[in-house]
Amino acid sequence: MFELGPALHHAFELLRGFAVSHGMSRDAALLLSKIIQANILVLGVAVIPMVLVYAERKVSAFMQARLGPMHVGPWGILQTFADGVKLMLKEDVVPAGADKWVHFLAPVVAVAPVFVCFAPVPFGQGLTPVDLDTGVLFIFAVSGVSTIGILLGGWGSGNKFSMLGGLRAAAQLLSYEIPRVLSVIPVLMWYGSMSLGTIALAQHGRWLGILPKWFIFYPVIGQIAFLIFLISSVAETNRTPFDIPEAESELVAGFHTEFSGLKFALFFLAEYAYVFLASAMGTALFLGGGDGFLLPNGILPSWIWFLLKTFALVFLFLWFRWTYPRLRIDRLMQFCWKFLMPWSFVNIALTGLLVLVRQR
Amino acid sequence: MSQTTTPASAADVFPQAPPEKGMFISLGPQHPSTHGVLRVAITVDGETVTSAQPDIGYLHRATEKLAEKRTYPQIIVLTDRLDYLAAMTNNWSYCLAVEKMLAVPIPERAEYLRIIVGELQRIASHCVFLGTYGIDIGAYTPFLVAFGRERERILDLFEELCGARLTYNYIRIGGVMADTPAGWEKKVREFVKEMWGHIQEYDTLLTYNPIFMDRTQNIGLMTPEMAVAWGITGPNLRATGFRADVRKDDPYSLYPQLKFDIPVGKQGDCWERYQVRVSEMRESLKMIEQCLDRIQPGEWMAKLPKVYRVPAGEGYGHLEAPRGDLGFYIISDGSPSPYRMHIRAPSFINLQVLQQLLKGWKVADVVAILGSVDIVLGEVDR
Amino acid sequence: MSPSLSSLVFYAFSAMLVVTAVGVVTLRNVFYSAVSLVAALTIVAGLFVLLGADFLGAAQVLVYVGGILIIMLFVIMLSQQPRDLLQRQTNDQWIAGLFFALTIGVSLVRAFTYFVSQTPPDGDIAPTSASLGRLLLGEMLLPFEAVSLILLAALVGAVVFGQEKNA
Repeated sequence: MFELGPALHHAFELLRGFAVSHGMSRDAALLLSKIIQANILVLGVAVIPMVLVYAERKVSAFMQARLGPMHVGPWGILQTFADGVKLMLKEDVVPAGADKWVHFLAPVVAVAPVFVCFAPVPFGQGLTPVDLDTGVLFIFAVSGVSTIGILLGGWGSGNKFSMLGGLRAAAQLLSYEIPRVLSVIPVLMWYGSMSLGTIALAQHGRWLGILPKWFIFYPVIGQIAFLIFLISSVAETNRTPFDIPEAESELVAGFHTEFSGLKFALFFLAEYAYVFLASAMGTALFLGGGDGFLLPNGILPSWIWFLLKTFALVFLFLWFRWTYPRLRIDRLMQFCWKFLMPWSFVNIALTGLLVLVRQR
Repeated sequence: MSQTTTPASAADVFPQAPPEKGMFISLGPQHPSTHGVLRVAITVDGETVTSAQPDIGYLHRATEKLAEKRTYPQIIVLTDRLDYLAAMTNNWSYCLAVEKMLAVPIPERAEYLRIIVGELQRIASHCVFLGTYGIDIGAYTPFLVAFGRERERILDLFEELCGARLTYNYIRIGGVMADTPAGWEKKVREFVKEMWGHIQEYDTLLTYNPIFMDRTQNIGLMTPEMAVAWGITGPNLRATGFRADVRKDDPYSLYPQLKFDIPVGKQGDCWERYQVRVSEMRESLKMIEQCLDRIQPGEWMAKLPKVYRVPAGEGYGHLEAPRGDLGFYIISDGSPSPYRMHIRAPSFINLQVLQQLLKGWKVADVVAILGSVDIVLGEVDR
Repeated sequence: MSPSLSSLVFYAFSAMLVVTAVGVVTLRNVFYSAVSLVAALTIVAGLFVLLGADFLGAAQVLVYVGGILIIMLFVIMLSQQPRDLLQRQTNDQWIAGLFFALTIGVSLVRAFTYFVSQTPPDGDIAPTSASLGRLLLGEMLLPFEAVSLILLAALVGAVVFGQEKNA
């Protein structure tokens, strides 16, 4: 069926050729096409949270015997758009005790890495914006920068609750980053690559002609790794049951209490974009990327498969949020350091053993 | 009298200066987790609570004093405003006291209707507890499910019965306000049938959720001795393992004819206080079913004159309200209004234990313990 | 990328790096200093990538920006004192200090130009993680393990010192 990757590739080739033939230097033409690609990506990343927010509202509503937004557009699909416009038009309130510059910088630092993070994600066959050899490491590294944005937000608000929220968030994000990275290491060991595209491609294929060769289906190691990755990803995105940084009943709204208007919208955008990023990573690392299943090959293009799987994982995130209570802060840390960490080490050792066996 | 009384300022009761060791936290009166206008003055050493002092009175409306200037039937309206989540049992308890003094026989149909609405009210009240407790712990869905779905169904039933959704004024001295509208009993039966499934849903959603159990089990332990010493009643007392229930110990209405158990806990932690309430909802369903089987058409109001005077003397009526032993003590001097009325409000008495109960636990547990005691400030401050 | 483009990016990065690095040592607000250190280290990572060391660049961001600097911000936020926020970063001996720094800077530049004659290869960035891994777990295994042992010792030491005395 319709594969988007080759078509886009072809289009950009044409564009570059056109630019060069009209007197543009090759460098400038390359730069132009890269800028266009980057803009497509940024636009896509900015739109995804709107879809996710709508999904969150509808899913939560259906779980809670409600209908959710129904008035703006059919079935309320324009609700998030309306909310976005509202947030943009809202007055930007900077508290009197706030550090003006840090207050301004915080949402920017929080949101900027998200866009960069999507660069090495293989959205489908030939649809990897930049196939970095260190893709996985790159995503972990860059997404860690957002934590600084949260800290800046906590500090810049000049509000004790915000600062507490910011500190809690930083402690939590820093802690859960470790099992998250460790949980992915078995995948990297098995496929011998850090490129998301290569890993996703290596998972195409079937065992006995039925079971997909996705990493999640590898006995024991696949499941442990996936579970740890999923749990720590939920913690990394500050969502229930790990939403302590924003615990309403304890900290009002945590680090983004004092942000309004567009600044708040940016924090919001970052949060949802990270949910999508985590799901996309999970899809590429554990669920075979754009590999289809059940249906015969070629009925659906790989990018559709990728999005389907990603949204299935996003649904898991939503499901957790609307059915689970919140962990207590000390239990949260204990769970990370005393449960997830040892098990991820065990899993790495186990994978090492299996890799050895495979080499024999 | 030359003696002047200086009003006690907040500073007299609670030191404003920070304690020598640790920190002073004023929780409330405007805090999302204090369930109304309650303030708890907490001192903490590190993460551990060293003292906790509930500060009440933000909602005081002098209900007991107001009662002295009203005729007996007019007072029922006041009782609606006490525990506003369980107005039916408030009406009922007051009526019990007055009926005792009047020595008026209540028609059987009225008694059954009272039990049905009383137990429905208990379920509705526990639904609110369940939902808000979920929010305290960080789960949102139970709130919208229990509060927004099941409780609304009960309120619909009550609305059909008496026209009100919060302050019912349905149970009157000598019986109930009106007979049931056509088909009401069938609707109750349908609701009861569905409710069994819904309680099952609460169990899977919240009661046996590992995170929820982790937050509430072995937290805020209350021994039976401690509970009795503080005068705790209701589910909070039963959670400690003390089997005490006014419906069994000092039976009123037709409860002796009904078959039901009294759920009790073992160690009185937050989870058991919660779990006892969920079990009570099941017992209430059983009772409603039995009442629906037995109820016969007939009179719903005793023959009472339009204007009556309660003979001089005193009377005390109490019953098992959703939050504990709710009692009305009335002294009559034979005039149309009572000489003095006192309300034994279970929330008020249960609240006092917080001073001891919160001590020694972590700050993060304060919200969990506070929620599990389940107080209604309308009743605390009266 | 062609040489002209890459040198353009290099000079842009370097200029930003100098500005932020000067900010680290001159800003009077400790928090601002830390934030400009964040920026400086991020730009250093960018330079690494520009030189073809993609793994090093990612590791730089992951460890320094995403880890160490967050801890530093953490400490500043927890131990905030009004006087910390407005501190002069120089004292009476700033002339001596400047002289000393210049000496080190000049000798470093001399040393690098003497020993390192090789310029980084132009053209596309070649992956380095595989060769780096082979080096770390092969030829350099002993130093690698020794460093990790030292870090472990530091960790244990921190725990010992951090323990409460009465515990």
